Amino acid sequence: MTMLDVQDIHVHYGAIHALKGVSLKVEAGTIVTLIGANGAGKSTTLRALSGLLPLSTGAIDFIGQSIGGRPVHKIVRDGLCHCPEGRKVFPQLTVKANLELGAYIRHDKTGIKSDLEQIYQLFPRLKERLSQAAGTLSGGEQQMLAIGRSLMGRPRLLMLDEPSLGIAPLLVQEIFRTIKKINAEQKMTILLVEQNAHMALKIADHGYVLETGKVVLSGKASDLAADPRIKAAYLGH
Amino acid sequence: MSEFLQFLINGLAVGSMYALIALGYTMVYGIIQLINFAHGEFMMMGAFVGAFTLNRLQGTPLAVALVISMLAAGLLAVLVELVAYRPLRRQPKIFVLTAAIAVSVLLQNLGRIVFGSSAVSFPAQFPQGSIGLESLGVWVEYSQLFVLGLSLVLMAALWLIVHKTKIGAAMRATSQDIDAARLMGINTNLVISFTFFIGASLAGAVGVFYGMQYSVDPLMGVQPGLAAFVAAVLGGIGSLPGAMIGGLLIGIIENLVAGYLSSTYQGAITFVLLILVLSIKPTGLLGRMAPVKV
Ligand SMILES: Nc1ncnc2c1ncn2[C@@H]1O[C@H](COP(=O)(O)OP(=O)(O)O)[C@@H](O)[C@H]1O
Ligand SMILES: [Mg+2]
Repeated sequence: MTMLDVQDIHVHYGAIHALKGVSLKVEAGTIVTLIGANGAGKSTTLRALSGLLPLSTGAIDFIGQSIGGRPVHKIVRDGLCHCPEGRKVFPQLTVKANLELGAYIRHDKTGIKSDLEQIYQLFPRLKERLSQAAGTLSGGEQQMLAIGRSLMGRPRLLMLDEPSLGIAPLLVQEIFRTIKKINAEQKMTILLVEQNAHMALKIADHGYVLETGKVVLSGKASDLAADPRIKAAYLGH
Repeated sequence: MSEFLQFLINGLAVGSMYALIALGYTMVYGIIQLINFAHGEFMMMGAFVGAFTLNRLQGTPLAVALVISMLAAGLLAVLVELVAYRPLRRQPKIFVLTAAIAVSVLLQNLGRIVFGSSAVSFPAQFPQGSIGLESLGVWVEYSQLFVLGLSLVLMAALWLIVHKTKIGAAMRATSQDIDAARLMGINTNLVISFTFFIGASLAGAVGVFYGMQYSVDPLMGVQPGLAAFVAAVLGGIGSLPGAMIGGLLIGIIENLVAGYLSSTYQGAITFVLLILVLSIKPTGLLGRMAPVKV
């Protein structure tokens, strides 16, 4: 089943034409990665999908429903969750309060409780820091919190924007392993935006390459990882 | 000593009203970074609605009039935000700041047209008089006790809303990062409306407190509005405990200055304090350290 179908979307920042016709598909249960250099338009794509940015033209279908132009808070309720670049945890609130805000749209108290336990298992470091202000966590811990907070909303599709950005190399491995685990164990569909193409293509099923607001290449992740153009431009070979 | 205590008590009574108004300034600032210069006018509107209810609808209990005033001021603020501020949200900050000043003048004149420019009084609410604390040689007026007590109740209610309810959690999230809050599924427009409503309803309550002690006129919101603005800055704009402490401090300092120096300086001292705070510690007393701001 196609969960997300993005058709030829254009986005402008004032006079800047940031997305020049991006199309992509995400099949249920898969990890799809969107890679590209800094400034290619990856974050802009996610911000348009979650409704933070208005579309100039184009269409977005999510689980058979058109969501272009829908307000952000309704798109979240439809099950599309955007874990933004730079983590954006609520710095002055505790780790626990951040996780609870992730479940803002839910009312099933017992479900929320068991999901919290699940997050603690996924990220034991968070459990040790529940009453700490989120702003005092390390970058890697904040990223875990941001992912955990997103999972608390029980999304149908999770969009992650550069979860490896500014994180200690050891933790990067751990974060990618966890993303793969969430996909495998929770059957979570994931759209992963990354500059770290090497790691992203390793865990993804499918990939898209973005350059200056356009998709220039797409295909199976393993094929992309072997493609000489990708190797030269993004994998440092 | 007893003189000092008396100034302190008078200061606390006035200061608790400043604190309630300052809470509205600081909540709105915390959530959309706007100094809402029309905030004092919500207090004036609350006072007029209270006077109207008590004078025209004879026999209305004070509690009912208070609730009506709070609702009226709150709804007016929701309308002002919707009509005058929201359309300017994506513009440079100076636009909406200018709009706030315009709304302030507009509401003052609206008050003049609707209610007339002569001062109106509340009917006497409860027996005039005061309780003497003989041993200390100080007097607490009934109305002061009433205002202080109700102010505490309202502040406690606000604390409960902000810290113990779902909409409170949404307010705290929105004040820290509005886009992140939207990504949690929070309808931040609703949260902003709610914040205006709560802040202005507190100001409306103060309008009733003022009306009970003094009289009501279209410009009555200006002085307390300014004092409360300075209180919010002194406490650290964006911080709820800061607004409460700032309000009480300004009330006390005003009364000490008026008592020991001269009442001529009472108004000026507020501005001296503002300049001092802005030049010594612009973040205010609790500005940066406040663990949870709204
Ligand atoms: N708020 C903004 N205002 C104007 N231009 C922006 C803004 N955000 C991003 N851009 C521009 O849009 C393009 C795409 O940016 P972005 O989506 O952040 O890239 P990426 O996430 O791939 O690094 C860049 O040229 C960037 O300069
Ligand atoms: Mg980006």
